[in-house]
Amino acid sequence: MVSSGFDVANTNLLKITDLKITFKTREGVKTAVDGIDLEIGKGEIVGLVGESGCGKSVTSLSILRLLPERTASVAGGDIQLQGRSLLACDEKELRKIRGERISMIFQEPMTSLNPVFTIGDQVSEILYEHHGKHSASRAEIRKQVIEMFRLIGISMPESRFASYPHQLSGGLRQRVMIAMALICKPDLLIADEPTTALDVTIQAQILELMKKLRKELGTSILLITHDLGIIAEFAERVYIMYAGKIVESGAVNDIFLHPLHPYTIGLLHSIPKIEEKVDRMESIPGTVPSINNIPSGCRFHPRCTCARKICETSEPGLLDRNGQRVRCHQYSPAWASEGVVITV
Amino acid sequence: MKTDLLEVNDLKKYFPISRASILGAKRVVKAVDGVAFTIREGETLSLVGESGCGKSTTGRAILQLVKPTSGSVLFEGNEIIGTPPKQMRALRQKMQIIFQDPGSTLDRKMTIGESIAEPFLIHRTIPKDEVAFRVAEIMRLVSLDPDFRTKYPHELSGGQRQRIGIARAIALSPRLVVCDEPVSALDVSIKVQILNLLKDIQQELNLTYLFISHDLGVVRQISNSVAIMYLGRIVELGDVETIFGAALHPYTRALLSAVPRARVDQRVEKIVLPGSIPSPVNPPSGCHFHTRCPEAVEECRKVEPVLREFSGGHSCSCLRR
Repeated sequence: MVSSGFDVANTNLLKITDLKITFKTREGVKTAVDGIDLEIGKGEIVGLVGESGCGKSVTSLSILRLLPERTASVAGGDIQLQGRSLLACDEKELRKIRGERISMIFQEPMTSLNPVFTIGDQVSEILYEHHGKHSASRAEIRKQVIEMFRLIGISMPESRFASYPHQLSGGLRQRVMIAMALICKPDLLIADEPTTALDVTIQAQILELMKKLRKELGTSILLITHDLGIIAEFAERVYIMYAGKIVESGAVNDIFLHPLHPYTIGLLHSIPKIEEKVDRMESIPGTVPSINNIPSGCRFHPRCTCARKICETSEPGLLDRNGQRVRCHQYSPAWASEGVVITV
Repeated sequence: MKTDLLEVNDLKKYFPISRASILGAKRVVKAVDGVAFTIREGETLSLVGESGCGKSTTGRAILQLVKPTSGSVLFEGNEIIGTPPKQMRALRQKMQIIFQDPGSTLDRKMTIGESIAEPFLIHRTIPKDEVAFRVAEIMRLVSLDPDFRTKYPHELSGGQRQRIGIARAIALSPRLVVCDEPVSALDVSIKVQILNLLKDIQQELNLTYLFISHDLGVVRQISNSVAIMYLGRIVELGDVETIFGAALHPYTRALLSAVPRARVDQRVEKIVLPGSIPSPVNPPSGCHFHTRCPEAVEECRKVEPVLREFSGGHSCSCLRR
């Protein structure tokens, strides 16, 4: 175990404060994540939602310091695991934290698995790496891996131990990824679109499994997705991200019943409903701004149907409304005096 | 009364695969194994199913982009299987396709204007000097600024590229458009824009859609009728309200229940199916679905169910119904 520096009694497992991530591009240094705050409690499932390019994956990669060093850098803020700054850790400490305290699963399991090693060897490798070659015998490690395979619902775990990734279905491969991520019993699992590449009946299995594992192992989960359906059914709290900023956050129940930010409202309305056929689906006009072209003021104002003059010029601060946080001028006292409406 | 524009009967597409051993028997994958449905003019039928169920191959076999093994495809009442290439070429003006990823189907070295003009230059339906005018007209129809004609695909967003894919497909005023997962690669906020566009041009041009999708929310919004596929066969077929409101087949029910709902005020009881989709190389005996079916009995392993009609236009293939 990593001993020093962690405040184990802290109920906040992970705390991100004012995180800023920049990228070097041909057009200069651009900000992909612009001052976000995010907290994950012990045993909590937290969702991070946004469309492509909003910075949600970049945020998740920065937690484990997996950003490409040559182009990306953390330009400000802090990421703390139980009071210990991950940004201040050296490579040796990071190796201990990765896998043992925090681990990660990605969208496409095939690209994360090595095709020339059996899945049993690939999962065992992690135990060797973290517990040293001396602490456990080969047979002991094999037993632990098979136990984990059984826990995550891989049938015939003894014979599957010797299977290669190409011999498995997409759902099984994602299960192996989850086994790799959980074999050292980490405190936090970061799941970046874990079911996006899977069929809907397999997605249901994997989500069920992650819920069960949280219950049995007490693992906190940061779930990154664009699918609000998964968030509604799976997460307890959610952060909505737009163009590098958190625009709204709060308990899932509050946000789905009373969304405050026009972007959140728009997103919820633009999900093609499976429950009933509507005459005309509502959509958010325009497109997601690119990192090279972030709008002034409120970043959502060019697409917002209730934008006024102030939205163009001044960036809204984060307002707290009974624990639900929203970044929108509408909820500020100054709104009433802003008479001019910008038409979209 | 609307007439049937497309009638598909007992369509099969088998792909040969390598033998298990040199002395082994010849093997085939029955990607599409006896599919039948009709689509009325101006309507949308959705083919729904998980990966490998044969929905895309069905779409391609109908357009003769892959040669069907057997079966019949009647388009405007005429058999098109076995049509000589030259006549088929003329027919293609009336039958078009929109793909999932317009980024990979557009030529990166061609401007948007050139890409949209290409169908006219190939089929020579209008004089050359009218092409530019017509391209601008179509761009306006799909809500693309005609000034974009000099841009290249990489300069546009995913949603805009899909608009170009749609523009190319409708350029020659087709009657049937196969839409193969046209919004699956798009962001939530863009998805609805494209779906609304597809609905608008359907009305405007009286298009008939064969819509291929795994997204049941999208299917509910765009379809008149729905066919659910599993391992190369249609297991349930009916109008959209029946399929979503009164599904009979255990697979359809499980599929519908598995879709995460973006609401917290009501929960849908989940039917989580065990196991994964079997390989189409070696499908289970009897009912293909019996290995995962919560209602399967001994009989289901032995007897192949047939698609039976239960009420007007609603059919299901299940021995337990």
